[in-house]
Amino acid sequence: MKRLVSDALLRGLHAAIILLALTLTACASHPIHLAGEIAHPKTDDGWPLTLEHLPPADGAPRRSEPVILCHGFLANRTYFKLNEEHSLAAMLQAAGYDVWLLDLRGRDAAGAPSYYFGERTYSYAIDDFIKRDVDTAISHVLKMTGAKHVTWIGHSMGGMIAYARIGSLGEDRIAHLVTIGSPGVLPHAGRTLLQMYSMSGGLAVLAVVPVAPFAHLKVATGLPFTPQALIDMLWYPGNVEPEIEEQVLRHTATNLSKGEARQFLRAFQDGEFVSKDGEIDYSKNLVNVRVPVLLVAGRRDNLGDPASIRAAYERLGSEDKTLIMAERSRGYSEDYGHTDLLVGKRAHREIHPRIVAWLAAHDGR
Amino acid sequence: MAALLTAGCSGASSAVPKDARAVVGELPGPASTLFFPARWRPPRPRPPLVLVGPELLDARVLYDHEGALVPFLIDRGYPVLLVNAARGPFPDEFGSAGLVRLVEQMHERTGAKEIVVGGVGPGGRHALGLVDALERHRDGAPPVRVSKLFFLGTGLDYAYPDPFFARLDAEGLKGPDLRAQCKDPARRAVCKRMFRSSVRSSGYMDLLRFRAPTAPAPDLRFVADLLVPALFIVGKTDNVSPAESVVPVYRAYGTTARDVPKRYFIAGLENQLSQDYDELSLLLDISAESEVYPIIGAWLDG
Repeated sequence: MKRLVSDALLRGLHAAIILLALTLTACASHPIHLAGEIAHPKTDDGWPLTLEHLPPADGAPRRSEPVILCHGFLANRTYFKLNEEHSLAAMLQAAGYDVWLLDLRGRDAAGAPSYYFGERTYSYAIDDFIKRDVDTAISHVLKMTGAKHVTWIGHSMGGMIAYARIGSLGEDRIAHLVTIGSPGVLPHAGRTLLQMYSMSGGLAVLAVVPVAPFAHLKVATGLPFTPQALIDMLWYPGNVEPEIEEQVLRHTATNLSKGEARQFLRAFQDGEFVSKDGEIDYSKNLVNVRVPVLLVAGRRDNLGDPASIRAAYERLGSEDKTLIMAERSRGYSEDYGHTDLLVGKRAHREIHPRIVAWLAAHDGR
Repeated sequence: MAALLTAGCSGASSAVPKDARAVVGELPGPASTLFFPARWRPPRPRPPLVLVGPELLDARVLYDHEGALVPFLIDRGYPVLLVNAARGPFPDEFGSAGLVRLVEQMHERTGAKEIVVGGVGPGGRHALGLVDALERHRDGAPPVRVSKLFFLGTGLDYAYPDPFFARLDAEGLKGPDLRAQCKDPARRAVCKRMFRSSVRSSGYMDLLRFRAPTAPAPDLRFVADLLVPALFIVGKTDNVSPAESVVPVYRAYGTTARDVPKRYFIAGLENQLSQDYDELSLLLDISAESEVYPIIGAWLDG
């Protein structure tokens, strides 16, 4: 009973924060207009996902495979729609791709989980994304389009789970893979990550890592409810417009389940990305990935750092693999950070077109 | 720093700092040495520190300005023997032969049985060869033990896709003297892009010196057998000696014995420093003295 009351109180508090954020920042708000048809296919263990369909633009060339875009850690599919006409999703539509934006389990659009009790709680781990959510998303898209294969584009963890699905579970319905800031082998943890690891004991009492409420509080009040050290891990502030930063916090910040947090922190501690039970070494199995892969990395990326992207590149079994390093010495406007690769000031001119060009060069191959 | 840059503009490189007391040893080819005695004698004397490099930049970035690395080290009690590329890039075999002869001469003159070795910038990679030679007693290496090893902004494995030096080649910067080439107006834009830095100075081009001879990627598997405790510091935005050129060596280092102390440190925001450091700012930014060099100091003293 106490936990039920606690759950209700926490949910009420979060709702109040969102309401406060919406009220206080209504004038400065930047709504997102890009919207597609929504579906909520269910996984085999009963979790509803969200797939948002953005069909190809009229008059654009027809492409052979639908494209699934999968968000990363702490985020949801809205990431791909920020910047509106400059977004990767919009650029893919314009280039003729049938685009499907995926929300993995636990995201609000399919019904937020409960904190402690209820049909669904924050009880899942990254293994569940790999084993069930990716499978359900691909099945749904293939069923709706009649295609035999998909192209998978994943940012951060969204790319890591595709590596794991293909390399460790034998997934053969992904024909082309683009990973953006996705480490296959985890980088050596810096001070901020080690501090997070040292606090992971708190997960024993917390129902969830409450990222979203604090992000919303920051938007509502302007106060540093999300520590700058954490922001520095996620993007390079000099390369993200303030209104995009606000949209990221307002629209995409997502709570972190304990299972996700533990699996991630363990990976950052050990360097290898393994299943929760330790039975599957996803990093080691990168050698089993043999589809064409484009890896996109940013010089300032602290989560998919260049050394870990090099390690992934070298371990991949693919003969056709390309690594793009977004850094100033290669002519980019900035040394890109983790999130900048998607929503950086000039990502629509420097990053997205290279992804679309790579896909076009591989279309039908 | 202004004096350093002015001297760099004039092309002079012979200004010897007042701390540097003597030139020691005979070295092959283009290298020279400067010796900086310790400014402080701790109760337990520090071993001499052989500092290798840089090659890409004028060696004065290490001692000729406030907050430089060499003054930091001699203030902590380490006598520093700086080996630098004075007249051209180090020859490929430098680490295994030339440096060994230098340590041998030092051993004969001073009787030193223990040294610390440091590498700075891409030229610092030769420190690996020196440590390997001393540990295996090859190339006639004297009985001198290396107690600690560190690297600061030193790229070690350039076999990553489209590496820095291959891009220099592709941009037409193929000769050994980078400064002369970057003075060519036709190449200035390329040089500015390849050697960008957060250090607010137009002096980077004038500080450039030599690039390593283009050679096949060396076989670095020997690092697994090394036993000397080693620290690897990388600037987060260093595109000359980037993280991907260091981490494979760091991961492999000392793995045969399994318990060799080693540390990898990214100089950047992810370690809550004030900035993401690059190749030049690791050596010239005033904040390096308070944020980065203490990591080296703690490693050497620990």
